[in-house]
Amino acid sequence: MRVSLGPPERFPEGKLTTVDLRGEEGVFDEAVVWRWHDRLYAVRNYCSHQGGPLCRGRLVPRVTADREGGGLNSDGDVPLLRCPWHRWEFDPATGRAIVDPAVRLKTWPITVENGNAFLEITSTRRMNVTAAIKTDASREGGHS
Amino acid sequence: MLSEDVTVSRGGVVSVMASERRKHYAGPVIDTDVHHTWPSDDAVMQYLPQRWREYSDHATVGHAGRPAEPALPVTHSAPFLHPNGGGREDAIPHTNGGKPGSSYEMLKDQLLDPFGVRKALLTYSEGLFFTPNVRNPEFAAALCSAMNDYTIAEWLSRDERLAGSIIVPLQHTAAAIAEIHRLGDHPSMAQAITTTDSGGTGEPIGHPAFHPVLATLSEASLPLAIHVAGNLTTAGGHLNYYIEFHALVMQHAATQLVSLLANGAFERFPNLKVVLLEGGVAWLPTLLWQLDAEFEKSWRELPRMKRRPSEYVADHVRLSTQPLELSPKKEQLANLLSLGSVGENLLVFSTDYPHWDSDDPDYVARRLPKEWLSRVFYENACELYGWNSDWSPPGERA
Repeated sequence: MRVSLGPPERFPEGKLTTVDLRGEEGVFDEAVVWRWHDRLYAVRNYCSHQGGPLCRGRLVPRVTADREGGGLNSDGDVPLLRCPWHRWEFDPATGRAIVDPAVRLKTWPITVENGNAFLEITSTRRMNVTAAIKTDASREGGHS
Repeated sequence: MLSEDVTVSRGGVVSVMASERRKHYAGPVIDTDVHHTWPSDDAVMQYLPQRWREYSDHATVGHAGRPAEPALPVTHSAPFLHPNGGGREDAIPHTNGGKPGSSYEMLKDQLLDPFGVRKALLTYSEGLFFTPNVRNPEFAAALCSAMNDYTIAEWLSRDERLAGSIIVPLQHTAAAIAEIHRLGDHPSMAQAITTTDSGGTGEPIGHPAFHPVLATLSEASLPLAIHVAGNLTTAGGHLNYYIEFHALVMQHAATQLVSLLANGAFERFPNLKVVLLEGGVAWLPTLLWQLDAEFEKSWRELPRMKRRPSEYVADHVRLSTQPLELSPKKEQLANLLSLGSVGENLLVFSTDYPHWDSDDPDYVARRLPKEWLSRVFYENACELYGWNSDWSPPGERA
């Protein structure tokens, strides 16, 4: 099922946006959506490590070490998504944790057609799913 | 269709995943290690007597970068930069200065309400860490009193689920005793608290210098919480990286425990109860085996000790669960704790909220045997603090 997210520009470059997924029974899931170099990414707003709210995390450069030269590098080409709790970092393309690739976030593919972004969900039992951007109040840690 | 007119729910994904948050344990919870703090130094300074407010003010005059607001002339010094900051990023208040742990509303929304917390033991944050750095004993005493008064006025009065810890200046044992006498009967003060470096004094807590303090706590039936903090030097020397400290927290907690045992604290002070905070738990079984074996061989050195060390620990000592050691398979940790007779009776649950390495309650519930959970999450702490597990008014001790 394709769920419309509206134009990609609704998701500011490099900023995490929380999106409610709403079915006929109400909100059944949350996605974190962000844009980076004109590509959109979406993961469930739930860290697979201990359940941290990923919407309150941040995008961070990948740190690499040059074994031979002993140098340390910071590569921000495709930032990693870092959980706000224990700082687990995930590859946005695969959803896999950097330190333990067996731990994986739920990811959703996003396609863009005619200036409109669509979240691809696989639910077979839900009908009429809509997506709605949460306001910034949800980023105030519950001070809604 | 994209709509933006939905009602914003509290706590982000927490609201959506509410059924998941307490999936493995839905019973009552006592959290024994919750780090509260103040939004600005001024919030605490207003509780300092004028002499010490002036002292603080003068101490920062002329410093480059001196803050515009009054500031406490004490900082937490560590030999390394923290790679992850100190707090959960989702616990940063956007309204009152941005320090995790400084917002009661956030604590309520992120911890107390969603997890059925009946009682949260407030254990300070930077106050705990900078107190050992204060070498002036009278200033240390004034600071501790101010932090305690701030906690009573600004936190404990707001929610009956909050319980306080009397932070004591072990740099000045007479003042520490006076503070216990001053606040020990406060209905919401549940314990005293110090650091694993005994307030920066350089002596482990079992040393005779501290016996008058331990005697006072024993007489008052107030537990002593000892939190890993302060001097972070290890047995081998100094540290370069945060991970060295964090993987070795057990060294600091174990040192204090062995000191109490070797100095006969639990024989001298029969009502003394100690809870070791944030030192991990998995190390205890092997340490107890070794202590009991050493005692059999070396009892002549310690004739005051009438029982095996493990028996004193069973009766007098509890350990908070966070940071719960992450064995590759969850049964490995449970088996180890069972073998050491530590398991369900010696552990008291803690999150370490709002620090970056806090343990999620449901995660801890997943890692421990189901039949332990009511004891670890609730009953053991009720016994430690003398609270009726059927539930009694806040602070009421049996």
